[in-house]
Amino acid sequence: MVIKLKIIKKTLFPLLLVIFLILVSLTLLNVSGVTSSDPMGFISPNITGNIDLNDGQIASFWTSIETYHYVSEFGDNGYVKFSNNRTHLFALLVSSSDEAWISIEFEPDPSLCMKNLNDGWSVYIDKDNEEVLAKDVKFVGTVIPEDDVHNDLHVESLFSEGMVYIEVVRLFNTADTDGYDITFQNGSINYLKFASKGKHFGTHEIYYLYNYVPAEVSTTENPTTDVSNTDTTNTDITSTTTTTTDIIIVIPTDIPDLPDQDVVDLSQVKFLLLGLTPIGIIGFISLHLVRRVLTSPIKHDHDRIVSSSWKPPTTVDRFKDTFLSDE
Amino acid sequence: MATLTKVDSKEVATTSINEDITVIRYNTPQRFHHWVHVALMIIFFLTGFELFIKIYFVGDYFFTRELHLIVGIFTGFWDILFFGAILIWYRKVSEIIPTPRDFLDIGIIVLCALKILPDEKYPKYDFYNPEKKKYVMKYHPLQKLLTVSNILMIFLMGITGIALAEELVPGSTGVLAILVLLVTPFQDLGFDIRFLHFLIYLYFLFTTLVHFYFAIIPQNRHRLKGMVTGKEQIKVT
Repeated sequence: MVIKLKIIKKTLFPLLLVIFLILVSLTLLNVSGVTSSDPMGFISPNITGNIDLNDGQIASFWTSIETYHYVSEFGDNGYVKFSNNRTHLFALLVSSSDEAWISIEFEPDPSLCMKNLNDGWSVYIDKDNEEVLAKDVKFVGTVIPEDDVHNDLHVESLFSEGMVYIEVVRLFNTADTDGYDITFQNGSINYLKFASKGKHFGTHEIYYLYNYVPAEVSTTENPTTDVSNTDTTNTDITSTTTTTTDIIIVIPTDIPDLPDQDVVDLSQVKFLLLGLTPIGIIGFISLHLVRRVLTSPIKHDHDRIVSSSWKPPTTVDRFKDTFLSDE
Repeated sequence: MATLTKVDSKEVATTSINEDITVIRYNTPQRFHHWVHVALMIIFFLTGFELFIKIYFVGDYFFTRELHLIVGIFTGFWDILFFGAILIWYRKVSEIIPTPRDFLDIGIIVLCALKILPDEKYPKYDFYNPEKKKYVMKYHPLQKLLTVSNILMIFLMGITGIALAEELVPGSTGVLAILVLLVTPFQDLGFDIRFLHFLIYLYFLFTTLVHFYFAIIPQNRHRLKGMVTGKEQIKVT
């Protein structure tokens, strides 16, 4: 028995070490699977509200949408957010306003940009005049993408502190086959790549765009989308030069099964909690320091040696000793 | 004047009053585990905080996220598997499982702190039996509660962390879908998995800093020393 225990004792830690090394190896393999060389994902969560592109501000719901940082093509501090309701895809593209243009190619060739005939968006940024020109485009090879005959993008832009914030709305299904417009749908996964003036010749990441739908929504049949409901008067490229004063479109409310209500701004709640927690810690420590260290410290060190006949007190014993005994 | 004495049953029998004895409080694997755990927590706090505030002190977003993930997986191994093995092998499971008495003790401690009960009622929780050369009772009840809740929180942190990583590659593990179902009822309140991950972060922030404070106060410094050297001096009074 003793020999067995010794053998186990000798083999236990080497065994754990081997398990550890295997786990680390798997970790490294797994982590390397989501590095910059492989596709990353954008979750486009279903929202309960709509975007007003005529309000002169970026919709507040974006604060509760996952931020995808380090989209290197958008420059320092640039990021992208996606969301959708049941009929429209929403995007928030944030870039340095120094970028002359940023662009998206949907369903690109995984190994090469601008190789196939693809749907895309090109956004031209005029920093001096604080204007944004958003073009619905099609990629036709290694040339400047062609403008779609029908511009199905609706945008609002804001310039602030060297950054430009561009809110984009597009119907899931534009029915624009001439522009190679892809049809998004709830649950669809599409590839996309970004590019910008500043990162034109760099390596472009491939991302997934996943139109995420909660389980109870995904089982619901989508309402028929009437393309004619959207504002198609802005097909002239010049009219899509959008600033905060331009009126583009207000997406109609067509979400019958999900109540539109104020969602708590989690980012603010998080910062509040992050601030309150250290205050709570400092408060607790201060109180304890005064009460238990400086003024009436508890003596932990006395009467700690016991004999072999000593038994730890039971709960009942402790209760009696504390509350029923006069000692 | 106190002198240090290696303790065994014969010596204790002759140990005089006001003499300190030196005993083993933490064995080497326990201490090794603890200090590696400390290093892991520091890296976790820093990288998690960097990801939260979106400012990266070392490297960039990718480096920070990968480091966070690697440390996360390692912590799962270290604090659940390795620590579990130590507890089982050295038969210390019973030392860290809170009993009903521990919860009663916590209540008594609070009442003492509030001066509702006199300090003489403060429950003693730390006893050593020199004849058997082991602690009969060893940990403060809140320490026991903390140890168990830490294991649970590390597990939850891992699950929510995997779900967040899965957002990058949808459908890769299935954890995301399960957790989304759990938080769906709270979605209207803005409650999501990232928020849950964040709340657990706050838990560790609070408990770790308070734990550090308790480790360095004068009454507990000899226990802290025990976590460094393994040995503790106990007064015989």
